[in-house]
Formats: sequence, structure tokens, C-alpha cells
Amino acid sequence: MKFNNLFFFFLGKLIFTYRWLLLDCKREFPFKDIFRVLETIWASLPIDRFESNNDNSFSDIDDLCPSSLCNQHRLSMMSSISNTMLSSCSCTPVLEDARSQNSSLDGEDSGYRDEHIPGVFDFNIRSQKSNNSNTTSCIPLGKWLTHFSSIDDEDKYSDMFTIFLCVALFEQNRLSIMQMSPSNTDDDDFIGSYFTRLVRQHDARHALQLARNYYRQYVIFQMRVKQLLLTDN
Amino acid sequence: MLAPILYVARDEALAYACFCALMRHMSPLFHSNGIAMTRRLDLLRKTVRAIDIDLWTKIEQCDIGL
Repeated sequence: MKFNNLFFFFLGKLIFTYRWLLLDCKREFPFKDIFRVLETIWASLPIDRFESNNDNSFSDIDDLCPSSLCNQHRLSMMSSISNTMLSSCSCTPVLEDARSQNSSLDGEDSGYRDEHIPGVFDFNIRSQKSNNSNTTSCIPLGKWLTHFSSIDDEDKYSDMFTIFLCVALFEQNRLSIMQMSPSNTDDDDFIGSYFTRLVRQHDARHALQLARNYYRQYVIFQMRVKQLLLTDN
Repeated sequence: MLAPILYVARDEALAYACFCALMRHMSPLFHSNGIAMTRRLDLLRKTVRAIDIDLWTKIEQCDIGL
């Protein structure tokens, strides 16, 4: 117990986000929205991420997953990028609107079913469309990206959607946080208890949209830096 | 984490298999040395600071850490 306290002490600020990061924000959203959240997070992972662990000591359980089936999909980094592009492409405002209409028709329970998963063909059409209207080439990249100018390795890369989702949760509650006064110490951990009260109440749709927006900028920025490095060499 | 999987799969055996695979994938996060979690926390701090410096300073004031 004492060790745990010390451990947390040395971890520093934002300890209350421990649960968010541990469970991929699973507890923060209403149950009907969790499917959408988890699917989007998993779509941002490199495809071979789940198989890469197969070589370890758990291999005796792995006959649950036929390896021949898994190996067909052994694609690398690029697949992860195209995945994230797919998931980020599906959040154009028009689509979001259409989807929200759908989901209101579907009723609450089937919230996860209306997540549109575009096929490759679908994606090609859409990317052509957006090329015509010249939007993909000029997605505004935020200045904050300059803090990420070093190329991240793939492991780090695959965590970033969860991180951006947490940032989105902060941004959603920005006003309330900014109004807190540090002098008012009724509660020990002010922001922490604020967010504890909001468990399962965050707006998943809006948070995902924000996180996708950050993630899209981040992925494009990383790709551009990589291209620059390649041309330099 | 099991509840949403069971809700989608509607089959306890399949849901269990999926859950095991998911836990294997997430196992570094639950490891007692906390390396993966510390890295995630650091990454989150870095990202919040980069994206919204005003919000970060406010959080630093209001969050006592424990």
C-alpha cells in the first residue's frame, strides 16, 4: 500500500487519468457509446499488433486464433496509416450528420452498429472526391505539432489515439476546469473528483470527432516529416 | 472490458477468446513495473501541454497529484 502511494507520488500530475489510460477510456462513456469508442481506438492500431504478441509464452492459447488466417493480413506500418486515414475520413461533417440521423432512427441500443466502416473502394471514391475539392492537401496542421517533430516509433504511434481521446475529454470540460480556483480546497483532488463525477457521462461522438481531428493532423505531420527525411537522404 | 465484447459477440466462448486476446494485447499496461503506464501518462502530459498550454497550467495549479 505504501509502495503504491509512493509510486503514484513520483508519477506526478494527472494521476486521475490513470484509469482512462489503463482501460482506453472505457469507463468514461455511456455503455451504448463504448463500441464506437473501442472500435475507433482499435482501428488506429497497426494490423499486426495483435499477432506480434503471439510468439510469447501464451502461445498455447493461440490455437483459438487460426494463425493461417492471421498471417494473411501481415501488413506493416502502411496499413496502420491507411486504417487511421479511413477512420479519420469517415468523420467529415456531412457524414457525421447523416450518421447521427441514422442512430436516432436506430434507437439507443444499437449505437455501435451505425459506425460506418468504409471499404477500400468506398475510401478511394471519397479520397478522389476530397482531392477534387482540394481538402486533403490543405488540412490545417496545428502549431502544437512542432512539439512532436521527432519521428515516433511505431509502438508509441499506436498509443496516440487514446492520448488524443483523453485530451478531447479535457477540452470538452475546458470551461469548467478553467473556472476552478486552486484556493478552494474543499476537496483534495479537485480536477480528479470533478472527472470522477462525470464517469459514463461524456459525449462520445464529440470527443471522438475531436480526437480524430488531432490524430489526423498528427498522422499527416508524421508522414510529412518522414518524407522530408527520406528526400534529405 | 468483457461486457461490450459479450454484448457484440453474444457467445460466451467467443467473447472469452476475444477478451483473452485483448488482455494479451493490453498486458504491458497492467504490468506491475508500470513502465507502459508511466510512458502513457508522460505522453498525455506532453500532449496536453503541447495542444493547450493554458489548460495545462490550470491543471497544474488545481491538481495536487495524489
